Amino acid sequence: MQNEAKLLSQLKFDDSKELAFKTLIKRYKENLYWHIRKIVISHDDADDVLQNTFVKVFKNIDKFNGDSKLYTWMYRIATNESITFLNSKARRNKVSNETLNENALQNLVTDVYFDGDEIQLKLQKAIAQLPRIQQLVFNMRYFDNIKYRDMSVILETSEGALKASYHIAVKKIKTYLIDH
Amino acid sequence: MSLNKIYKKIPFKVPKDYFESFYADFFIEQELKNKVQKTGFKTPEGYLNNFNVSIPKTSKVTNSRKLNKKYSFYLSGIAAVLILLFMFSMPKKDNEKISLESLENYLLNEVDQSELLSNILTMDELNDLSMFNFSYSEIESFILQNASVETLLID
Repeated sequence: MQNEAKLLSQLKFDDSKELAFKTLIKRYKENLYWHIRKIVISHDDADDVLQNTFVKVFKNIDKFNGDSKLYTWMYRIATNESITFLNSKARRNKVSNETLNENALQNLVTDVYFDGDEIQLKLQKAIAQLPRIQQLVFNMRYFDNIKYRDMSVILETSEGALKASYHIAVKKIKTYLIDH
Repeated sequence: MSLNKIYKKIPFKVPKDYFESFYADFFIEQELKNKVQKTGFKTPEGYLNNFNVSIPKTSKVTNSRKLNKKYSFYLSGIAAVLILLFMFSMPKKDNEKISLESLENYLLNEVDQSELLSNILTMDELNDLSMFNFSYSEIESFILQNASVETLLID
């Protein structure tokens, strides 16, 4: 596997950019898809956001200065794209973000691309009750086991605050699952 | 020296109930993970294997194209102002309709272009334009070729 520095330098040269970009897509599409999917819930929306994310990565790769890891930079773009997507979808449908979230969860019951059992559905509902930052932290830590150090770069928040958010989120989810 | 004695000498303290809540948090998480580990989401068959991105064609905008773009913006503005000035300076007659053709003819033949340009642009803008070394006839032909009078009137 090519190392990140080599891939990055190839991405910055016109001659090798397209080929390197294909490698980048191959390497990160799955992780980014699941990250986005957990935020936007529906597969079709996740597909749109994933496309937008990679297009943005392609257009802005020259601006990436290597201060952070390439993957954390891409995760940050994916996170921002997902949130922007949800906000504009809510505006387009003239509903609040909370209503949009509720609708997405209702659709999940009949969604052909969700085969979770009762407890998995409940967990999604519990996550949806959390404030946005806690949702992000919980999903990234609980399901993807992303290090707080990397998460701190992705979400531009201190590690301490992220740890606190995670523990609060876990407690709230536990309470929700007991109550429902 | 025994370990017990060393521990007793460590001057650090932890917040009250730190270890109790640490274990509690840990066990809550583990308990949760025992029940649910995956989201339940799935993708259409083969989606991730076949996923591809249509790479946008890199359109390299050269400096001259950038200048042309900037310049055409100026010219469109000038043309719009010329038309507006013309409309306001024409004597109004009731029920008289001005054809687009007569409007064009007036702009081409009657209006003193240089005077109008100096009226509507600041010195800085004129200097900015002058660095391109375009003559008024070039500006005029650009407007005629690139902007329709109807569009400019609508604008």
